[in-house]
Amino acid sequence: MMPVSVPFQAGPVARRLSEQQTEKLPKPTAKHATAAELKSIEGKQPEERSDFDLLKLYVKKKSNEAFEALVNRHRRQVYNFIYKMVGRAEAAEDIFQETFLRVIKNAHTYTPRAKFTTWCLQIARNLTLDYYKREGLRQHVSIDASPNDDERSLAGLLQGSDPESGEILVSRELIEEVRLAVTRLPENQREALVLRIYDDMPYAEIAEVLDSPEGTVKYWVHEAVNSLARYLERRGLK
Amino acid sequence: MDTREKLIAWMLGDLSAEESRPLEARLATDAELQRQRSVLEGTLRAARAVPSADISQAALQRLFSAAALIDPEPEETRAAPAAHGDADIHVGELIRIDFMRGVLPRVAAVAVIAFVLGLGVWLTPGELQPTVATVRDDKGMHVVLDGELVEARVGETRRITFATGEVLLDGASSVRVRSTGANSAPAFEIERGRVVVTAAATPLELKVADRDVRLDKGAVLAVDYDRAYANIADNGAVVEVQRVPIGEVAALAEKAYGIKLDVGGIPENVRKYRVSFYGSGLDADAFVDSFIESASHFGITLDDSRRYLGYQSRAGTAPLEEWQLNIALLEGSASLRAGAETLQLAGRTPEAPNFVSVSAAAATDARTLDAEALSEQVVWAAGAEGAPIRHLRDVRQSNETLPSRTVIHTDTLVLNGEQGRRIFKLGGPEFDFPLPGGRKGRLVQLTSSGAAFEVEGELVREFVPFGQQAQD
Repeated sequence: MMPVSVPFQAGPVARRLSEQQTEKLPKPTAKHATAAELKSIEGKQPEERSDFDLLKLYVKKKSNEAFEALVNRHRRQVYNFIYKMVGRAEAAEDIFQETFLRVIKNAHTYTPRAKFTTWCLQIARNLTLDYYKREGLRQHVSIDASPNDDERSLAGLLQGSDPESGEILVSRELIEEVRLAVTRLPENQREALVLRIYDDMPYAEIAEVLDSPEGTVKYWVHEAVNSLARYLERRGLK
Repeated sequence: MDTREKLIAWMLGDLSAEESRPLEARLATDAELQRQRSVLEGTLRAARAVPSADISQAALQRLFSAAALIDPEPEETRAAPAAHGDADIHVGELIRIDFMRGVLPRVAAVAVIAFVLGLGVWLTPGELQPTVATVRDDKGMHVVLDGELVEARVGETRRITFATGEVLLDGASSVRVRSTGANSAPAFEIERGRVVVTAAATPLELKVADRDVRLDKGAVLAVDYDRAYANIADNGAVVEVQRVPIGEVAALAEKAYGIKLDVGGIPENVRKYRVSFYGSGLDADAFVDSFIESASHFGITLDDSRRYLGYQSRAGTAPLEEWQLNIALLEGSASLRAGAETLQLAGRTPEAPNFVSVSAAAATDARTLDAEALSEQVVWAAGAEGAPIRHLRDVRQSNETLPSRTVIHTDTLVLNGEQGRRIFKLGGPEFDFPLPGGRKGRLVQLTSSGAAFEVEGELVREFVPFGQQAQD
């Protein structure tokens, strides 16, 4: 076979292209699991089973327990990502459910080339973008807009300082202000911020989920923090 | 990268040691930079303090229930499920008659109902069909497969959602959903009922009463397709009789309740007159009473034995047509094709301020109503500016221009000083609507049976049935 020449391109898309072009054989998917493999997986303690193990059990044995274990393992991360993106519990629950229905619909095609969480978050992200489109929410309301005159100063939302550490204590109202402000960031900044700040996800992995170069993702996170800080400054945070 | 950007990168640990050193040296002496660091620290602390949320157990259970219906390995060989005709279909007390369709749709409809009841009917023998949309109602959410019939009962609201729009079923409605391809919006066939279709992001195609309607992107269309239909379920727990000929209702009473009603005393032509009545929890006597009450304006009587129907000629009562279609374009643009004729549907105009567009009661009939006719027609109305996905309801006999952003509901409308009616305003910024428990809400949606509110201080949307709302 002739060697495949892959021109250098930065970013995860290029990496995937490279992998696809140089692969000689398709990677095994969950549906290729053999009886011996399944027996071995079933012999493992539940917590020792990998995500791929659980998918194999689900695809080959229609194990609802395996599916439930998979959902329970990742539900907090996936749900929080969706919830912090859409800001509404009802919509977040819908999107969460649809995400995992898509997961099982495509479970037989999943290969461990990407981490399960990355794959799952990509699905959740696409469904979230669909939600914006459907609800006409694509145009975010800029948090750069001037606050209304009747809005309270954020200074009043701070609960003062801890006498021992000297740290500023954060009130519930301020947290709610920030939570709402996050939902008003541009989509790409919001996605990057949520995955970085709340999930503590490495930039490389965020880049995979968002299908964007790592440098761009860093820029989005920095911009998001900057926008939030500017907003809070205008609201009186010194 | 300017200094502030560098500061942010430094605080997030994104600068190398070499990049950090000059910034740290400056931070030791620069008061403005120290102030900025303080603000950024406060911001990051508040951002990190936002608590994590968890999905509700109810939603998880809905997911697990929906997942249990999906075949995870569609292309593998396995024992083929029974074809429709071989399936063990058992619909209990359900009797359903569709007067305008053939046998096959009836079987399909029964199959869907049996499926919903968990009676093991395979809708998609052989292979898994793609998910076309999702349906959400008070009970939860489930996926819609290609060709599936989605129904809503009287007083029930169901919402079909997909990537680029939504279809709202407002009680006693039925819509079939068809896939048009992996990356395309589904197509819809409205079989009956009141339905609001929103083409939010792409055009949509729908069929109703043998008419083809195309909604352009951004259009919102209300359809009221009132047609012959009957459903009596669970010993009268649900009774829907709509535009059914009097003679047929008598036959229905016998099938559902075992009551023999003799229609021999009614002239043949009068037996074909159609009646509508609805109810829940109707026993045999209550069913007959409802029937006679709805038929009495045609001169139908019942003797003391409650077995023999009679007729006393009565002038001036117009019989119901077999069906009536009303379509109103609420937002954007759309067109309707009926036979060889294509109509461009009109939205609000100075002459017809309340949205009515088309009304038809015959196969080739498709006409745009003028303002004068408006007062005689069912009108779906709303001040939909800025609220294109809001739910809308009908208004009868009104030709008053509605204020912007106003939605009116038949039961509660205040127009021309008529009693027992009320105007609601949608989507306002204030939480000023009194709710049970002394809370305040912001009205976001009206349905046939109640209203949905966003509740002040809570991240919830709450549905409050009419009659339970505090009056202001």
